[in-house]
Amino acid sequence: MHILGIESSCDETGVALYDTSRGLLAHRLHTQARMHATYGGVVPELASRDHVRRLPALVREVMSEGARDWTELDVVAYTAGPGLAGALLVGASFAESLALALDRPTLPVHHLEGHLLSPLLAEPRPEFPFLALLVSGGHTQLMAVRAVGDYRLLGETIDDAAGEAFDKTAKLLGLGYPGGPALAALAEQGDPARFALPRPLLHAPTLDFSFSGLKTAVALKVGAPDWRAEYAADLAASFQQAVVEVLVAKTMAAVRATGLPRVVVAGGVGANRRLREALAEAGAEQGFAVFYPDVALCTDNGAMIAFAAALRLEAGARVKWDRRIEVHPRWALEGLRQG
Amino acid sequence: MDLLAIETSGEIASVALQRGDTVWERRLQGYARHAEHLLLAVHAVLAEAGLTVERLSAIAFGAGPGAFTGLRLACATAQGLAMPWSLPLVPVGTLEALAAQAGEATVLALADARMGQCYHAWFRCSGGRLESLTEAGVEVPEAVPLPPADGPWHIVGQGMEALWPRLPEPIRAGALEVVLDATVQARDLLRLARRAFAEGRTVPPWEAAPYYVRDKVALTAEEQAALRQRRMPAP
Repeated sequence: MHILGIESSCDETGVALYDTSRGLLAHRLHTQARMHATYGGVVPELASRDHVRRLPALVREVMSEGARDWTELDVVAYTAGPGLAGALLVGASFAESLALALDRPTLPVHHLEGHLLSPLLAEPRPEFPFLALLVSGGHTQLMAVRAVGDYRLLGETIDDAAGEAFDKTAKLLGLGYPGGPALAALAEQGDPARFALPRPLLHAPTLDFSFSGLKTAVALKVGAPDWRAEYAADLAASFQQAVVEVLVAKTMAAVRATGLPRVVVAGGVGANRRLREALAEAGAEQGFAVFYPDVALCTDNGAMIAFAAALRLEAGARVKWDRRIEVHPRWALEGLRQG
Repeated sequence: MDLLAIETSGEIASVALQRGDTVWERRLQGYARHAEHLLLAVHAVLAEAGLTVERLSAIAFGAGPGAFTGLRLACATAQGLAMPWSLPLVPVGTLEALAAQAGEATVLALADARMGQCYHAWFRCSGGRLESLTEAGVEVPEAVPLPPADGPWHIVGQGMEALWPRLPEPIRAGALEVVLDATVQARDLLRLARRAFAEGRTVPPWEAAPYYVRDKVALTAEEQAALRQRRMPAP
């Protein structure tokens, strides 16, 4: 079965073609990061404008590289939420229309389900059940995943997402937007013990996260009269250390609470080298294995959407034939059931 | 030729399908329901005409200016329908479609752009052909450019009742006929789209885009900083 996957929930346009017997045939991604950098953050209207410009060309490239005829497509899957309403609507309109033109059904996919199942596309492939740590610019969540469609939220951020904290801190240090990766690079040259920063909710008896106070602590250091530009690397390293410590401690607590023997990390922050090292150490100590998606699939992408659709269909999900273009900008993953 | 037209730039969305001299159409009222019901309407007119998407000659869409989300809905829908069958797309401008309602004349087409502004463009329609005299712009009504040709002229506006008194006096005074509450329907796109198709003015789906006219939608980081500076009291 051939599934086309379309992702347009935020600032990345992703398209992929997945074959249930042969795997991923082709995928393309266009990131708008550079465009939004000029504005210091994602401008929703500009994101939507870019999606509608890029999407057809990406679909065309994917179909051509996948060497499949249009009539060989079986299902058109797309991200129906959560995300920016206008951006989601571009992907949903295109996908539903394409399916109508081909007389095929669609499958709307939850963006976070795409992320948390994406490590199953990689080798080695984790078995169910597992603990999922979703860390990106928009989300920070710990979920217990028992099977496709069976997700239980254990904890999440009560304010900023981890990736958002990275980007905002980078901005404070003059690293531009989105500066998360630049901040991590700068942190490599710094001393993580130089600045004492808070570890929000580290010892709280909850699996929730909070990162906005950490960002404020950084802002106070940068704004202090004795601040000097050459401290930037040390502050970046101290900040990163604080985020990583909290993420790892909460992950370890979640493993203890659930007894799940595997941890799956998804989302852009999962590419952070320090986080990977710390999780590996924690896993060795506490006896859990850690799995990641391929680096190319850490960010938003169409492959995870096509793949999540494939797994849902395999698990008995019903496809959609009603031709209604509907998106869900706010949509809880928990409670998502096979329909 | 068999032509499908999709128009969702305003409050009343519509689709129309022309086969020979027969036109089938569906109207959808109210912003919120456009997306939900648009494809059901497309499906309905195709079924009534006994056609499938693959047998269409081309797909026209209301390219704008108009409500941004509506423009993208029409464009993305046209793109998705056209892709697998390599159908050409025909973007039709809202202001052109309004001007075409005036008949043979010099025409000022206007449309409410919210925020106290309006979209505007001057056209000349002669021998059934629409010629653009000025580039479309978006401004406060007071700044709508004076006619590039001698009068009199016609004015066709969409949602322009409230802004009309603010148009420059010479523009109002020289108008022979004035319509301020015109609407653009998918049916209106068909005639312009047929001619464009016949003249080869079509685009493939990957080159189709809405025509927003209002292109400045956010301040750059530099502009935000400059604004903060201006707002800061002098030391």
